[in-house]
Amino acid sequence: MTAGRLRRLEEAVAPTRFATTMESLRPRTFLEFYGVGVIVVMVTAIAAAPLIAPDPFAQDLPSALAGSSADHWLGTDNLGRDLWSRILYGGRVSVVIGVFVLLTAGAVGVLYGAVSGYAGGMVDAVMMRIVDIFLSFPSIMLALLISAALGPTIRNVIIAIAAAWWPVYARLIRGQVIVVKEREFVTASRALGAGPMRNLLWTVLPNSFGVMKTIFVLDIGYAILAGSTLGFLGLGVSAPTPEWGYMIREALQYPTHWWFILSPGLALLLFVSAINFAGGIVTRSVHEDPGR
Amino acid sequence: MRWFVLRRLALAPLVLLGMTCITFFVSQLIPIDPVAAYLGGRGAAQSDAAEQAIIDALNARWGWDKPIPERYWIYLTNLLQGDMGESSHSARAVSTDLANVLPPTIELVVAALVVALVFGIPLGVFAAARRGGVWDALFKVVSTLAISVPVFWLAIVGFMVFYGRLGWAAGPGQLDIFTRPPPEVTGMVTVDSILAGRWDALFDTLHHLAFPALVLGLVIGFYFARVVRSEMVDALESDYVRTARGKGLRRRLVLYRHAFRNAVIPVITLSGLAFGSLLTGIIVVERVVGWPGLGQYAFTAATRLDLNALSGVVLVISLAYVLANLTVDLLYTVADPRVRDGMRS
Repeated sequence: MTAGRLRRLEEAVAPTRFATTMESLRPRTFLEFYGVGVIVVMVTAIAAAPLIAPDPFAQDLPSALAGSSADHWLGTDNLGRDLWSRILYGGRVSVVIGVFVLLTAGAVGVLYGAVSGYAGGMVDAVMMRIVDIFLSFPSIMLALLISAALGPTIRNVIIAIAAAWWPVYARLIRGQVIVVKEREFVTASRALGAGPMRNLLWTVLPNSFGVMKTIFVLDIGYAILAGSTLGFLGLGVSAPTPEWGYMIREALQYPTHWWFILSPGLALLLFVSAINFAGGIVTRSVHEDPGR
Repeated sequence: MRWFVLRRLALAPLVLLGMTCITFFVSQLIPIDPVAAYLGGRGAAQSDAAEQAIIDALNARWGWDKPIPERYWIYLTNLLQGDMGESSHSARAVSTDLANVLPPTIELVVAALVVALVFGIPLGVFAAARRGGVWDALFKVVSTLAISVPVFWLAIVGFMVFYGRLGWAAGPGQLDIFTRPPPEVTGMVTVDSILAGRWDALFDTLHHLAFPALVLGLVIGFYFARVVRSEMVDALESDYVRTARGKGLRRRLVLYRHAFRNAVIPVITLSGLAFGSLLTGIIVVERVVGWPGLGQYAFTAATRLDLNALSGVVLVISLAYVLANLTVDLLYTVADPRVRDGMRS
């Protein structure tokens, strides 16, 4: 049995339908268009921050806590730093946290869950009890503790949230793997001589991602919220770095300065809700996916 | 199904043990010598001998000079005796602090849960009954915003508007400064007021409770409503509902007697999970409205990097979460006749 033939067989029984997938990912309702639009605009603005906003660290104490003006579109914070710029740069931190939490937690969870589900038996039972224990914490509590122990940096925030989240993915993917590994094309692939590693990574896993897609997209939003909650508690990124949650914490001391407190929260609300509105697209594409 | 319940009950202690294991090892991650940290906060001792005596006492209690597995064992035996160490920011035993801050938080959790259920479940039924319509679309937009909003920010802005501008909400704390607090029995001001027959204090504390309970309750309520709606939509498209309609039953009867009773079961499971996000919300909302509970305590502990206090809070909250989910699983077996009858047979 050559690897080439094995490959072709795998493609025949479990084809990746890239074009079909792209087709089903087109927004259809108004809210989906709105969500995608807001995400595109915000991500572009965040990426282009150095071009369209002043230095987020430049302090100008005499004009601290100023209102909206031509120089400072959203006004300034308590140290006279430009809020518009800090919102944009803060968005970078949030997006980085959201994406990397998902990549880390996703990679760990998927690998763990896949091994557990594929192995079955006692190995599976023990591995899943460990997952149960992790899932017994309200996730932010575990993240809070880890983040406090490690210290406030972006990397540690990502580790803390990912450490609290991977069990969800592990359990989900395990459930899928258990079902998929009994399907005919897996048996066929095994009959053709594929070893357990090849079988798991190339045949079972690619066909177990269906449900994960929805959760993944929506979870970027919740990871951003979790990151900002840690920031608000003072356990997120450390002081001069702009971060939406930490900005709200700082603004708490200046309750009369509306823009200071409104802008970071509105940015969070706008971004996370856009992800949730756009999430409908992925949910639908999964439901329509015949290979699920 | 009986097997399922027994298994859940048997696993609960194991899960709790595992949780103490995780909190312990996480608190070991901190790259600081705990003895130095403890002494550092208290100024230098009088003499080297006195300092050595303190170090010996600490080591005797916490085994900080012993290897990690042995330290975990000491931590666990101390924990089982209710000893969670001392809080570095309040300089009291964490267990004493927790006993003080838990009652106000229980009041807030119960009040928020009541708001969430009373508001969320009918709203979900309403949206499902009008699915595809204008009200349903509006519901989708508002509920999506509700699950996307950072709760702490919503609480701050709401407090600024309803307390700062309009003066409808009560100020920080559980009582106005001019209200004489009722004699403390349970620590829950509402209950204590009733026990003492102090109706003025009861109304005052309910007024203070209203704002945080509404903020948390509405956010969680929208979450409930979304689940109820999606379950209801599934139920309304099922064959038994079509049959009921075909029999000519009234719309309301079909909605509540047939569809709702089936749709509400997942909500039971969900309320256990929502309990987790409620507790998270508590941490941030209490700080904003100055409610003297667990959340406020956790906020201070997090700010001061008080790991003893923080892991105490995490353990208590997680214990509550485990118990809530266990209760929910047991309730589930009672609420669902299929499961209940399965248990008898």
